[in-house]
Amino acid sequence: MTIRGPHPVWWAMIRVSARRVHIYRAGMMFWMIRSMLELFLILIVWSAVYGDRESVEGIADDTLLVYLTISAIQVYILPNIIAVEVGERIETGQVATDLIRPFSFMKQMIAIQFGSSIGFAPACVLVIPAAMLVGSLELPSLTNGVAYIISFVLAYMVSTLTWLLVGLGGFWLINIGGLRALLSVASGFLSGALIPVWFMPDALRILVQLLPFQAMTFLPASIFSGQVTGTAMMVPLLVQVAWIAILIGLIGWVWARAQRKLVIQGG
Amino acid sequence: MIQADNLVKTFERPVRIDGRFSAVRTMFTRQRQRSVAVDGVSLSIAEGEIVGYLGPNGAGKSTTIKMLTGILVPTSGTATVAGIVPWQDRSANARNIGLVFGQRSQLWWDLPLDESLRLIGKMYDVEPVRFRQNRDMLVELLQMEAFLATPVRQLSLGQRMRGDLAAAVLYEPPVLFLDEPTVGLDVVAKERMRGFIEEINRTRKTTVLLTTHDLDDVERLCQRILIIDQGRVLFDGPTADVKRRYAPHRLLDITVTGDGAAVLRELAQSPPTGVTTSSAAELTASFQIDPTVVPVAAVIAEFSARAPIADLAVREPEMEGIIREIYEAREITR
Repeated sequence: MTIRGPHPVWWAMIRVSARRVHIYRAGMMFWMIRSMLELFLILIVWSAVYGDRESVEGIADDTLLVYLTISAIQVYILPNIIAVEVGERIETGQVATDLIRPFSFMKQMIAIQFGSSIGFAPACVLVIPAAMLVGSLELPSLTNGVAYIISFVLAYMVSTLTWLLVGLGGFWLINIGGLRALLSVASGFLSGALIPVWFMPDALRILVQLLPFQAMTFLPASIFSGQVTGTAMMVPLLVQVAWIAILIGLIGWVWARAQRKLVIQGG
Repeated sequence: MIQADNLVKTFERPVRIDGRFSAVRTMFTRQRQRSVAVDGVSLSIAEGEIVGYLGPNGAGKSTTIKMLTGILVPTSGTATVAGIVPWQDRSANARNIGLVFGQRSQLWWDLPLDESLRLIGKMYDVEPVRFRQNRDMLVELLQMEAFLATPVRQLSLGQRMRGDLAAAVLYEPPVLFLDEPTVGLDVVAKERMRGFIEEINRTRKTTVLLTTHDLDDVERLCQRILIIDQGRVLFDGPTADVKRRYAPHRLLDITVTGDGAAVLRELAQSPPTGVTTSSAAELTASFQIDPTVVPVAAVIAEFSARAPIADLAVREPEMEGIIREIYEAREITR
């Protein structure tokens, strides 16, 4: 067996997609303002909750501060453009031209997402000082730092796959705007970006654990903020890996059905 | 090269409910309405043929093409294109076919045309040397030099269509599907398009299946046509046979000199056997001749013996009119 690198078309598509970031430029600006405003409001609420106390339920206030800040950054950075792309292509019928490529539709969409993430990397770097200004960022220990990087990469994959799955909903719904709006609100809450999962009542926590959103935000943020350390960090990492496997399976299942369902809009 | 056997495609959609709260009830209804877009189409196209695929709007042309290109999975029936079942092995099929939708571009909207072509070269694993040769050849043949660096969204329809054609043949697919390639183009652009299709077919032996509403495309390019309506094949045969079968008559236009008006009136009122009068004015008249009843030459001989003919022309009936008659005849049986 010979080991080959990724097919060159990956690079070509990623490069192409990175060059069209200007389409989303305004959207990303507003999204950034929204994320920072949200962080600001969350911090006001939580500092009121903490009052003079230094810890609630075993969570120190500076840990919480770091947690909320890194969560806000992740919410900003993690991909969801893939859902918009897939949804639009189905809605306009453009998917027809994607389907006649020798490179699978799913790979094309993932390459577009990678490309747009790369195109937006400068904007993502910008958000860090903004978040530090609003909140607080304290660098984690070396082991937590390394684990966080791994966890972040996994979160990126979970996010890409989740929003790809949402986009594929377009084969049934035609327009996924409503579903996307619902899920982005739900993901804000259920990912633990507003309320850390530690503080959620049991019933809600179970729901959160049944959905992939916490694997995008809560799990990496709890590693970054040092709430989880040492070998215990294996648990969130494995949960993320499990989600990636589940999502790949689900996407394959949905895709197989979508092909029979496909109607090309607009002739 | 292209083989289809009894292809059927049905679509389902929720039934629209009328009456009170119709929108809400339509939204939640479980009743489904089935419509048959393609109803048992079989066809066989040999390598190097250019076949016109005709039919009125909604006849099922595009749906057939979408099945043959692997975009849609048929409800039943089978097909192979260059030996591959398109919807079962999409990516292998993709390398064998080129596809142009007149109504939709496969180019990347935000990229300069050149960049789109390069990406397609990469996708289809075209060797760099080969890529450059093909690209240069296409740029020259389709005269694209002037707008290669322009983003596709800023191209005119004619330019964009040339770009789309170039994209479809860049990797030298043995089969080319063209879905209304000349729709919306001006006369010059249409002609350039046809010349190009002819050229590719001649030099590469590319098999072409082409849908169109423009019968000049057909007469210029297709040795053979398929006519479908309501998802069924009505006619499959050489283009010339359509005329022979549906419109075997010839048209004869004559103009007489000033003193022939009376004779002409007489001829128009009681034409010889096998001839009918289509229109008559003072000095000109048109007749339809059925050549199975009377030879055209005999009619001309008789007319010139009787009337002082100034000018005379024999025409074949136009494709446009024949096709219109075929479509309309179907309309009645609906």
